[in-house]
Amino acid sequence: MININVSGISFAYNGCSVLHKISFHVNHGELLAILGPNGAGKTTLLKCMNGIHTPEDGAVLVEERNIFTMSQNEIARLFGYVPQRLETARLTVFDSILLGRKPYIKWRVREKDIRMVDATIRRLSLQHLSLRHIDRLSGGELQKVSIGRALVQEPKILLLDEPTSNLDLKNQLDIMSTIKNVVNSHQISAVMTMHDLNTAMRYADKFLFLRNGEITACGGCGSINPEVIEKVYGVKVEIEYRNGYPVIHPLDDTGD
Amino acid sequence: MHFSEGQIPAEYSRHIRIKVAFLLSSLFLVGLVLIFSIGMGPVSISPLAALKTLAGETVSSQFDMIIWNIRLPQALTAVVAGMGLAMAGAVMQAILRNPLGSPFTLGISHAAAFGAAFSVMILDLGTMTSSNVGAVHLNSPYLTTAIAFAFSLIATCIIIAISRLRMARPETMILTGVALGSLFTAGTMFLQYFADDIQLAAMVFWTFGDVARASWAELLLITVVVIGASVWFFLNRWNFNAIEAGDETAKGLGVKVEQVRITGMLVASLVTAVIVSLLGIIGFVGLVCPHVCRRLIGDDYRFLLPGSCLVGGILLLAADTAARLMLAPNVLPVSILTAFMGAPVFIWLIVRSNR
Repeated sequence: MININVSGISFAYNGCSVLHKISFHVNHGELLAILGPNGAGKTTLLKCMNGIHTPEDGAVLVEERNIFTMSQNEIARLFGYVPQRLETARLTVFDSILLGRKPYIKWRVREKDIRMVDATIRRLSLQHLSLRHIDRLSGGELQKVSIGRALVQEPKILLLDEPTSNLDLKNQLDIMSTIKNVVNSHQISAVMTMHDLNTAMRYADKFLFLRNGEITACGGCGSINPEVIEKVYGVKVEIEYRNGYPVIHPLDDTGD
Repeated sequence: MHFSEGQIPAEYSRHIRIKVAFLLSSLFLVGLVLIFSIGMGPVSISPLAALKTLAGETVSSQFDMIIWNIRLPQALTAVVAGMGLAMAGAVMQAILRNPLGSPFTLGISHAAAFGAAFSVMILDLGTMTSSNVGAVHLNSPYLTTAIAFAFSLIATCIIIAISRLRMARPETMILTGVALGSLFTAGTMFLQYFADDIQLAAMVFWTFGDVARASWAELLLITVVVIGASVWFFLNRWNFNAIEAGDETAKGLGVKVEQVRITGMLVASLVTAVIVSLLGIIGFVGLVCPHVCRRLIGDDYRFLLPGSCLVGGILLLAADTAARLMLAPNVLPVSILTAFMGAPVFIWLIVRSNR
C-alpha cells in the first residue's frame, strides 16, 4: 500500500510564482485528475511530483520518504512519467518500451527485462507493431508506447501529462480505458493532468482543481458542482448524469 | 496479464542478431580494407605479403620499411581518426537532438583552423620552406597543433558556458556553435587577408586534413583519446537513447540530462579537437557516418555507437587509400575526397529518407 502526500509545494519560474503551497493526498490504487485552465500550473505540479522540477518549498512524501532526498534513479523506480510531448526516433516499439527498464539495467539487458517488455506489449495489444519504428506510429499508438515504457519502470505511481491531448475520440477512450485498466491490474496509483472535464469525470476517482497555482477544490465526484467549475474556468455550466457518469454542459459560448 | 507471463519473442532475437551481424561484418571489412590499403601504392604489396609482414615475418626488407614506417601508421591513423570523428558526430547528434550535429556545425573545426592561422601569422611559428619535391612543411608543427587544439577547446568551453546559462538547451548549443563557426571563419579570413604569400600557403596547407601527417607518436595519442572517449560514450548508450526519446522522458527515466549533455559535448569536442589539430580538418565523416548507420540499423545507441565507429574507420581508410592512388604519384589530402564523397552521399540519404 503506497500513498503519496504532496505537502506545501511552491514553485516559481524566474521569480514568477506558478504553484503556491499545494497539498493533497493520493491513496493507493487511486486515479487522480488534475484539472484547470491553461497556465494554472497542472504540468508544473506533475513535474514537481517526480523531481523533474525542484520546488522552492514543500515535499512529496512516498512511504514517508521525501522524494527530493532520493537519487534520480530511485525516483525513476517509483514514478513512471508519460510526458505531454512525445518524441519519435528510428527505434522499434520493443526497444522504445525496453528503454523504460533503464533505471534497472546495469550493464546488459537481462532476460527478465525482455520478458517484461513482451508482457507489456501484449497487455497494450501492440504485438503487431513490436518491430515497427516509432516514427511510423499514429498518435494513439505512440501514446500507448509511452505508457508501456512507463509501466516497465515498475512504478508505484504513474504520472501522465494530458494523455489524451491531440487524440481523436476513439483513441481518447482507448487510452483512458488502458490507463484505468493498468491502474487496476497493476495496483498502482495514477495522477494525470487533463483538459477534457467529461473524460476526466468518466475515468478518474478523484479530482483536483487548480487556478492560478492554487487549489480551488479537491475530492471525489461529489465535490464537483457548477459553482466550482465556474470559479475555476469562469464558465457557467450545468451537470447532468448519464449512465451513472456526470456530463458537463456549458450554458453559454463566452462564459460571460 | 502479469510481467512474468512475457516471453522472449523470436522475431526480436532475430532483430538483435541482424544488428550484431552488421557490426561483425563491419569489423571484418575494416580488417579487409586495412590489408588492401597497406598493399596499395607505388610499390604494390600482395595481401598475403602484407599479412606476413604484419605477423612479423620478413618477406623483404623493403616491404618491412614501407609497411611499418609509412603505410601502417597512415592506415591505422585513418581508421582511428575515422572512428573518433564518426563517434563524436553520433554523440553530438544525440545530445543536441539534431541531425546536423557534428564538429563542423559546432564551429570546433573552424576554431582549430583559426588557431593554426593565428600561430602562423601572429606568433610567426609557421614560416614555410619548400622541400626539393615541392612539398610544404610547417617549421613548428607541434606548436601549431597545440595552438589549434587550444582554440578548439576555447570554442567548446564557450559553447558549454553559454549553454549552461540556458539550462543546457540543445538549440542554444547549436546556435552558439554556428555563431562561433562564423566568428572563427571571419577571424581566419582576416588573418589570411593580411598574410604574405608564404604565410597564406602555410595556413591553407594546415587546413587540408591529411592522415599522412601522423607518425606512430601522433597515432598513439589519437588512439588513447578515442579509446577513452569510446568507453565513456558506450557507458552512456542508454542515456543517449533516453535523450533521443525527449528530455522529459529521459528525466523521467532518471537521466541527468543537462550533465550528460555537457559532459558528452566536452568529450566529443575533445576527441574532435585532438584529431583536427593533429591531422587538419576532415569534414563530413562525423556527419555522414552516423546517418549511414541510422539508415541501416536504426537509432539505438547500443548498436549505433559501435556501428558509426566502424563505418567511420572504413570510410576514412577507403577515402585515404583512394586519395593516395587517384593522382599517383601525387597524393591528394583525404579531406578533399571525404567532402567530395560525403556531400553526394548525404544528399542521397536526405532524398531517400523523404520518400
